[in-house]
Amino acid sequence: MVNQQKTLGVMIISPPFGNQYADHMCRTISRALDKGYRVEIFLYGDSVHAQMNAQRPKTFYPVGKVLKELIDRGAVVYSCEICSIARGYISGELKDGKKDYSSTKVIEGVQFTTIFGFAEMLNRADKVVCFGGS
Amino acid sequence: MLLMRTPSTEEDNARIFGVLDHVQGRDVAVYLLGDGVLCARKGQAPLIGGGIERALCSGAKVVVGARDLRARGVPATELLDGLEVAEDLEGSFIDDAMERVDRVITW
Repeated sequence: MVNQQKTLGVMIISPPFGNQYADHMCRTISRALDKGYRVEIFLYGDSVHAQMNAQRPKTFYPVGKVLKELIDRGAVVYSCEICSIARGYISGELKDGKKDYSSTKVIEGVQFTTIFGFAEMLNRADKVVCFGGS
Repeated sequence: MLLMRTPSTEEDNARIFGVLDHVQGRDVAVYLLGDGVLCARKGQAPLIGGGIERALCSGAKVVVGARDLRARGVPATELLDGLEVAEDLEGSFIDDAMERVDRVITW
């Protein structure tokens, strides 16, 4: 009997297209959602490029499109704030006392957090899987 | 264990198979995904693909993804004896990872 309250935590550190880690991640998360699990994802380092809006791969696995579909199905996607600022996705500047995470470059539904947010995600997860590497 | 790396990266595989050698006697499931399916081929040098053969001999469950085998042109006749070929490898992995095992290692 599947416990539908269980949460799968996923960290990815490799970018899309240069290798298949993002593809593997998306397919694995899709099956976890099919089976009724909660899923939280943390994009770290170069993997934040998976959040880029309007990706148009002609023949590669469409990571951005699938990531948006996973969000629409209930997956929670966190992106590293520092990694995203470094790569020009968000400014992160203070605006009216809050950090500015607005961006036209990012898929709708992606949330920004710090590595401390990742630590909190680890606390919520029943199991954690990491995709990517050198 | 979810293994996604090619067997030709010797340093990585020395670490991976070193881990496998130290878990003999315990319940272990190894899922080969992406380039990891190349570890399932017969006749590899001991330090390269031999770790999967040793894991099978020690009673580990080894599951290899059918889609990734097809993508790499690896026929069933070239696979080690005793492993399982799964069309839905990700689904099987999630079942094990979330409901049956104490720990998950990905490489």
